[in-house]
Amino acid sequence: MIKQTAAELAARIHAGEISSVDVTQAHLDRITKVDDQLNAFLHVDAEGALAAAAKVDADVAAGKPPVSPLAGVPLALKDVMTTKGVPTTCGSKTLEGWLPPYDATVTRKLREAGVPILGKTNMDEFAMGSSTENSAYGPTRNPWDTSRIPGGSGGGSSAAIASFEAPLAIGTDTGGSIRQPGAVTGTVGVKPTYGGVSRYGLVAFSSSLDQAGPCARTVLDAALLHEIIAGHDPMDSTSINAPVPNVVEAAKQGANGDLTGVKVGVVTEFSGEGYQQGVLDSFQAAVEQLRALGAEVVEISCPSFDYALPAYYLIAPSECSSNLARFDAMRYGLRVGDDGDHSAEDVMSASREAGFGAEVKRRIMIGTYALSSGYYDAYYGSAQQVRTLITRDFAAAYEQVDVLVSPTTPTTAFKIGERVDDPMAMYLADLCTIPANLAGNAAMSVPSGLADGLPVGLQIMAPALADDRMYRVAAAYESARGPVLNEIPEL
Amino acid sequence: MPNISRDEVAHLAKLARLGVTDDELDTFAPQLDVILESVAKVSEVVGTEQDVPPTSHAVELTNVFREDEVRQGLTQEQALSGAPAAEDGRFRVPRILGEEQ
Repeated sequence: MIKQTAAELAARIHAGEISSVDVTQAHLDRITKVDDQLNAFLHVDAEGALAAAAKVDADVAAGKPPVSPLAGVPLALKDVMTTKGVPTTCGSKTLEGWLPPYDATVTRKLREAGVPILGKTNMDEFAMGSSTENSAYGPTRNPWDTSRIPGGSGGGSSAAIASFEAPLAIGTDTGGSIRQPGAVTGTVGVKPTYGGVSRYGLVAFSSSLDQAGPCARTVLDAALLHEIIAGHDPMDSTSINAPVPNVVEAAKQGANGDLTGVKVGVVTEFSGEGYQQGVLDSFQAAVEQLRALGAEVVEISCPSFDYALPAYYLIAPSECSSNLARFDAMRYGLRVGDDGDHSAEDVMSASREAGFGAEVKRRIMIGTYALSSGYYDAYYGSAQQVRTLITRDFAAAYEQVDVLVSPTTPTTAFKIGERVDDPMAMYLADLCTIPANLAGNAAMSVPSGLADGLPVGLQIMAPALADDRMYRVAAAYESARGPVLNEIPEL
Repeated sequence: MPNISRDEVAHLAKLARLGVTDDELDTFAPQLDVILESVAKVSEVVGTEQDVPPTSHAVELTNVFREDEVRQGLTQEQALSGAPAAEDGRFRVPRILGEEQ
């Protein structure tokens, strides 16, 4: 049962063939059985999930229509989303034991849609990282090879769906934290258009880039989840007040495998040195597949993309240094050293020292540096100008093509420990995913096969508010490519 | 441009209210140096381009207003529920003024 897609499970639950309680329990059992090997979950809420499932079953028994197309299908929620009365740590010691007094909008929408929340998934601390090794609660392991990383920051979510602990998950993507974990675990990961999904209750890392989105095993499942969580929210002033693109319809249309009339641009900057040969081979095969489906494929150069990584690693740390000032040990979170002899400032410094891990400290200091007077123009100011150039490159590209494609990541999953002491090597994992965040566009990763036995992702990018375009192309590609996850070894 | 010394890291840490140990200063100084050296690349491209306005946000932002009416917020109990220390319905904090003040 746990290997079925969310769409299949939903259909069977709504038809009364199986109960949501049984489906939810089967996934809870799976978590009990395999999570010792993966550490994908930081907290499992069996009671809450089963209660939500029982409510859906009662509706079905009473002959009521399902409250949403995914009612009764359980989900794993990244621990960066607040859940009222359920622990929310963001992978940090600072928030150990914190019980939020409110639900994030995404959490509320899931509850209203009758989606049982199995628990909270592991992540790099405050979503800063590309491997989930920066979690204060230990790394998550890749179910394809438990000596390797599951991507990051949302490695818990990607590992959970790849290992059939959950059919669906929520991630957040600031520089690739949904797409890169999707790529290295053979799953689908979507970063919607910036502002498409509310950030209310998403613990902020870099507010102009953070965007929540769906993680799933199929493109249609991702689309179904996308429609549930998306939409304007008055609680988030950066939420876009526009209709949600019809991503479910686009995924269904794409599944017919016809891309006649669709123009696809291959980003020429994303290949060459630093790219694993197997990744490039898989990408080439995917491009040929798109051509075979009827798409017109052209090469597109976006020269400023070469500067996206450095711009991102100035903008994101700058915003993080400001956002994380809220962890001041006064109103919530860890407080240490308050012995009556020390000032608030001393307690603040001691608490932040004890509560934050090395990567968070590095980024706060980089941000503090980049925003200092004397360095502001050269660093933060220049990075903001690069952001303009990247937006212009995208705009020019989308005048010629409907979607852009590239590998999602330069390499397959690396070994746990391999890059922890070399921050720049770690940052390179985000090379191809960052431009879409800086421009606020939509982008997603779909599995494109294996290289040396490990999954590779195809990235499909689309203009802001044209998320449906990429879903159509992804679904067509998926139907031609066939499943990748059926090759995953048993845990 | 950058060449980050231990003292500069200590200064940044102080500005950011981050306690750091001597060992951390030894680790962070060369790491921050490498990162800043690498990201300094942004000034190259911009230097060659004329007339590039900065982008602070991908979406054009306008201020969002709503009617000024009372709405349900957190209760006092909820707001204090995560406090490291509370007293008489308020957050209890360490002293914020120095002896001489």
